Amino acid sequence: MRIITGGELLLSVLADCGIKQVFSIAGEQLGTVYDAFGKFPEINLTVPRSETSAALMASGYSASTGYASVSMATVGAGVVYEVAGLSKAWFNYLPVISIAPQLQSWKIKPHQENLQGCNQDEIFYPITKWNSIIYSWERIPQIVYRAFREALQGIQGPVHIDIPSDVLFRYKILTEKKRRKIMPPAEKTMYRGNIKGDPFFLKKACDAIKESERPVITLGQGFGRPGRYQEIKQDLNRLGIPVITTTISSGALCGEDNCYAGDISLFISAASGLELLKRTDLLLVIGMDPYSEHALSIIKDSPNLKGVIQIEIDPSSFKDNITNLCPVHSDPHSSLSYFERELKWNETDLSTWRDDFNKNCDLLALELSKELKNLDELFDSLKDISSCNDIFIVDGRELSLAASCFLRKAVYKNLFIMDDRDLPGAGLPFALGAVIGNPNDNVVLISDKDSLFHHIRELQSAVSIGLEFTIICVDDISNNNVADSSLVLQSMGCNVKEVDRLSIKRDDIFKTKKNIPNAFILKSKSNSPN
Amino acid sequence: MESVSGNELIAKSLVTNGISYVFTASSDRLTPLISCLKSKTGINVIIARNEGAATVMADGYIRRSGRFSAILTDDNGRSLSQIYGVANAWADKIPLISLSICNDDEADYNKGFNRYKFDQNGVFHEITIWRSRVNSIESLSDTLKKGVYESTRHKRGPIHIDIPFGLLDKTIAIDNTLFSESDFATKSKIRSVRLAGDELEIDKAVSSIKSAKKPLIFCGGGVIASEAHDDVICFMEEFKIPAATTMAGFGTIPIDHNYSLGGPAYTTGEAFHVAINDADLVIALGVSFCGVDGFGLPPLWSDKIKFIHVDIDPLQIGLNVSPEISIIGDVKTVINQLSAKLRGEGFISKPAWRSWAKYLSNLKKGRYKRLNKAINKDWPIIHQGKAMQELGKVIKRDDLLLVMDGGNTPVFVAMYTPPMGPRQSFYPFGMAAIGCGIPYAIGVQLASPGRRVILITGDGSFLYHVQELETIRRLNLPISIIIFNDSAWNMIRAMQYSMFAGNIVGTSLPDIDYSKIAKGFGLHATRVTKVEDILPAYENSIHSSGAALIDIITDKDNFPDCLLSFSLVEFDGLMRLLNPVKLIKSSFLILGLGRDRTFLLLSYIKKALFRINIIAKLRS
Repeated sequence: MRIITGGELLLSVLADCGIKQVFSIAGEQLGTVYDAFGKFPEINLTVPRSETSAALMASGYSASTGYASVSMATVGAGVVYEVAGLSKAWFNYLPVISIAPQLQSWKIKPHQENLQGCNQDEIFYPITKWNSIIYSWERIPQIVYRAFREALQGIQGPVHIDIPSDVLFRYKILTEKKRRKIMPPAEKTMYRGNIKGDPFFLKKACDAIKESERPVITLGQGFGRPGRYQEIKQDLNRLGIPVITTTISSGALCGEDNCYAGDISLFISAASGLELLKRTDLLLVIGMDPYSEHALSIIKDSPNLKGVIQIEIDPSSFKDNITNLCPVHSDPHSSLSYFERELKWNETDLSTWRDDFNKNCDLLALELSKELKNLDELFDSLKDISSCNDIFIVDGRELSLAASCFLRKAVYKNLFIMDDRDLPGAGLPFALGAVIGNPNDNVVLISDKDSLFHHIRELQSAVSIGLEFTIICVDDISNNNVADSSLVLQSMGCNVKEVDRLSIKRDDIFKTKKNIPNAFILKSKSNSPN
Repeated sequence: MESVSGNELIAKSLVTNGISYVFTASSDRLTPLISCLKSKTGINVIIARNEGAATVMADGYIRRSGRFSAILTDDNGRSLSQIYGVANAWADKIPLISLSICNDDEADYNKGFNRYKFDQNGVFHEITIWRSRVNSIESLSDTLKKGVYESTRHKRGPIHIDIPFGLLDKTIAIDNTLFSESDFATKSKIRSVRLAGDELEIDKAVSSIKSAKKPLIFCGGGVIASEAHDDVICFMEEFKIPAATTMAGFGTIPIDHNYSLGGPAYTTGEAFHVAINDADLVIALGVSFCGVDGFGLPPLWSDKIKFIHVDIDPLQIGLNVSPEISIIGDVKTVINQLSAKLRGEGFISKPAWRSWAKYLSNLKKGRYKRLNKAINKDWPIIHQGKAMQELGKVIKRDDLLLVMDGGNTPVFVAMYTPPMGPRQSFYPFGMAAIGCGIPYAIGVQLASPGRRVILITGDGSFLYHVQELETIRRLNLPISIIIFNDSAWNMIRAMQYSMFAGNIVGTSLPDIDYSKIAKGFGLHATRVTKVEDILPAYENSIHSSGAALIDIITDKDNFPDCLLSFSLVEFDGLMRLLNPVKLIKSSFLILGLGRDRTFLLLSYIKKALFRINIIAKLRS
């Protein structure tokens, strides 16, 4: 029997759900939560220098570890800062649990000119999968478990919970009996098995693949970086069908995956790319809207295309406006391993088509590389020295395109390309989340100066916490920025080295200085303000 | 008739609606529109490093200048980066024009696949007073005009318009004569609607004022919006009525005025508490009775007060207080109606009012004496109040443009503020968002060419928008940044100290030399650790040609005493839920802060809070 506050109950449910990392800035209404942190040594609290960064770090942590993470911000002012950060998790389908206190339950909905009061749950509504307000102390576990279910099941995404401060401050006696009643074991609150799929549709899909001569797989968010990423990677390699990554899964496969053809950006940038795509006769779409990508929407009218097989974990997402041969409602691992088992392909069955397709992709990459001439040296050196322990995060419009072109053949653990359409400058806090989630790996952030400056304050967080990672700042494509990036990064506490050309050894880049960010500034053109 | 593109039409519409400044952040898709704004109109385009900062700059510009300005961003995350800036404007009723590019497709409310088809306009729903999505190029200029109109309707506030990307390149034939200056917004100022009060209500108000024994004027942000401060000062001087201001009305009555109670709301201390307990009539001018002012309700306010509530927005009447007399009208017009009526009836003032004002004035003097005595003790680490006091010595009151930022820092600034007028101090009171200081300072400076802006910020809040130091340097703006560096998120730390028995979690910050960071951005910067170095550092900074930063090491164990009043409202109903053992431990910790600090807190409790019989009210 214990007397516990709502804040402590919240942390105990988070701990039960396996949360190891919370990103948050304190606030008065979070008083009892912060007071209880000491009782949960398994939960690590990281305090960034803005709530926007808290949500972005949580996104980076989730994306790179596969676990859900928690971002907490205080009522009103804190929460409105968090919105932009959480939008990254929304656009990237990442299971970030956003928790915020609200004012006293008798003062909200509607607000009467309260200090910091606004209907914050409704601000989050368009950019979260689900959100809710917890009005009662007893319902904290039930609703938090539900938040985890909503974030992790089906198509993943962020969720938001508001908890009025009186619910967080209230203390009650938690007897063993009451605990059993309101807090079932976390493992019983969520389905953790496979979704195997309907055998009829699986067989139909299998037959279609068997008949196909030129199949191509496109990966979407359902490929699931958070979750069973490695298993699916192996399945794809064993299946041997050429795989194209899309904006959201870009960098999920690397040079050592023989099935990896390249990123969708290769096909968009050249007319020959679309022609190459149009040669395919069967499109296997894993966890994505087949026509959300421009290039794929063009090939739907190709005379060669006999049909599309959509593998999707969420049945509400099947599209009826495509030649959907069979909607396979299953998780990617289950259906891919089924295909592999049933097809019993020899290594040679698809190798001619795959090698031909991949060779053409090489040519596309070569074509694109000519347009990105100024960046080839940087990425070529990285390609040569990268290893399977490296996590690359690339931020900046031109750099992103270059990374998907030049790092195609590189070996890495993970590559995250910050989509320019999401949130500019998310790279730095995202990288910090990845560093915290993967302490044994080398994290390298490659960013242009403009993007790096968006959240440059977080370098100070990295220095304060003692996070070791590498920043490569390309100082030649920034827009109208008069600051000297070397001086700025140095003043923030980074170990800075200016380089004219980046032909570097692995030891230079990864073993420079311990426990602080190591920054390399690559200056190739003058950056006078325009 | 002239054929123009969507980009040109937006530029023309913005000019027509009196917008002279557009704030934005760099984005490839906006480049044609930005170059169109620059080349074809006289609009100043300011490019910030980040969309959120650009929004706050636009807000700061409006607060200082009283003119319109717009924020322009690209779609998705770039648009959502505006949220905190727009929320500040919404909470403080600032007519900010927010424009975003959006997806050409309508939002798909089935929250499935394509997350770029989200409801962008919906995110702004709760923090704007009007929003719309332009559906066709034909309706573009009308929507912008309507948006600008809506932003100044009744209670002012931000509006948001989404413009589909595809419309920017479309062309339309327009009649140029339609694009003349509009009626309600001119390039000079946002025009106030001079709504007169109902004569019947004015009569009632006058008789109520005449019969009052202890009247009090309470000025809110509405006085600034209506530019009625001179009229209010004339009114209070003529009839000898004391006046307090809300947080939003900071500066409407200079603190050194004989009838002023001091700084805004509860930072005034005992004079404010006594006034809102003993007054029998409060003339509330453009006040929203928000949480930070105690709602006009118990426990801070007496429930025996009669209110005359003057506001332009009928929806504000009866929201928190239930006034005896309510007058819908523009503050400037109504206050002149009231004084004309009183004068017309031959009413001068009452001797009792003069002694009531004198009594409150003495309380104010007593508090300032006590506060000044406390800061002039021999503290080993600089007291925030001392740093503020020194500022008053180097800058003339009319030259002062003060931006505040942080948690405890703005409270210290308000407690030790030098006297100044309206539109000279800036802080987002409604949201009390920390971290907006640097962009506010930029916006305020752009609205006051040639004048120096002083930003006083905390160390936690300083880094939020540190990237905008680049903007300050690029535009070469004369801004002096003063950091009260106490190595803590100190408002929250104070709470952990005083309510959770000193269990300090997540509120300590390392000792960072912020002057080094500022130097990295190319600013003049210095670090101050001794009291005697403050004044020379201020002088150097104020007389420097561009931006300068002073990092002052301050004492984290100083808590503003008036936070106790604030806590009574903020933690209304929560105090009784706190662990009593921790509260007892906390009080011992406070005693451990030293005799001088304890004395200050105890005198505040005795002189200000004891008046409202705190224990009885907590029990109830």
